[in-house]
Amino acid sequence: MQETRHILVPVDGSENSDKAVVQAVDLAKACAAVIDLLYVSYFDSGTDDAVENISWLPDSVTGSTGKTSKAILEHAKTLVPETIERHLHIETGIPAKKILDFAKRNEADMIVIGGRGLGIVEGFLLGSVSQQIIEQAACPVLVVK
Amino acid sequence: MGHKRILVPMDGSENSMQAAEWAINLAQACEAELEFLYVVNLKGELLRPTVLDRHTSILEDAIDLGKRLLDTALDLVPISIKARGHCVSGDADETILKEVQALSCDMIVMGSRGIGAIHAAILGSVSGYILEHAKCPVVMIKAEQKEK
Repeated sequence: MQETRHILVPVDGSENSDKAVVQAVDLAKACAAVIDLLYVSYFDSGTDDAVENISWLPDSVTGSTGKTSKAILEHAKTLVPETIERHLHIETGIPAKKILDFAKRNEADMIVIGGRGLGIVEGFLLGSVSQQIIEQAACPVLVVK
Repeated sequence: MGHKRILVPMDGSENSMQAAEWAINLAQACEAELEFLYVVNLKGELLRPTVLDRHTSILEDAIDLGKRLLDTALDLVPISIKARGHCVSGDADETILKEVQALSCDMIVMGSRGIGAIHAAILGSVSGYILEHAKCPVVMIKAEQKEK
């Protein structure tokens, strides 16, 4: 069986996704693997306002997509020591689908993802991303809580 | 750094054999120890009335099967890695969670059947239960799928 060379870590800025990055770093050190950090946003940065508008809606809704994606990836990057080869990627679309596509295209040997800690039923109803990844990914999936 | 002890629950499926192989690779990379676990659960068997009169031999058969499975996995482990096999009886999901604690493992590597969430909820998938309740990281391994 093949060795672990490419580890894909989808990040969303949550606490569990930070934990997933840390876990992936451990594995990457042991296996001398490369880490791909991936952030998937629903909207393209092309939809961002040219000027920052103040809104009563939360920043997660109206905040600029480009800035958010970059900030989340940069934060994840700080958790990976420079001795490990790491790449940052931004994709636009439905997270689970984009993550699975990316894994396939880049021949990821493993996906390390933060779990939200929801039950199967809640997870299913809420459309848990990690649940879909586990079910559909061809490679091993490590779920970190 | 890394993982000191990895629990690998086995059930004889292709997925669980692949999980064992994958865990062995990881253990080599991380210099971790391996604990293979086979859970004997006779509930299903005993519900069948025809087997009630000879359930002792069925229990022995099940333990035998478990031990053979564990030996198959242990045979794959290089000498440089410490590995043990455990044959324990009980409910698969609860026993696995108990053994994680008892053996102080910090990671679980197991095969997933790759069934959908609805099926899993109805059929009570063991891997789903473990994912939900385990305190440590869990790696889910699916047998390599044939290219469509």
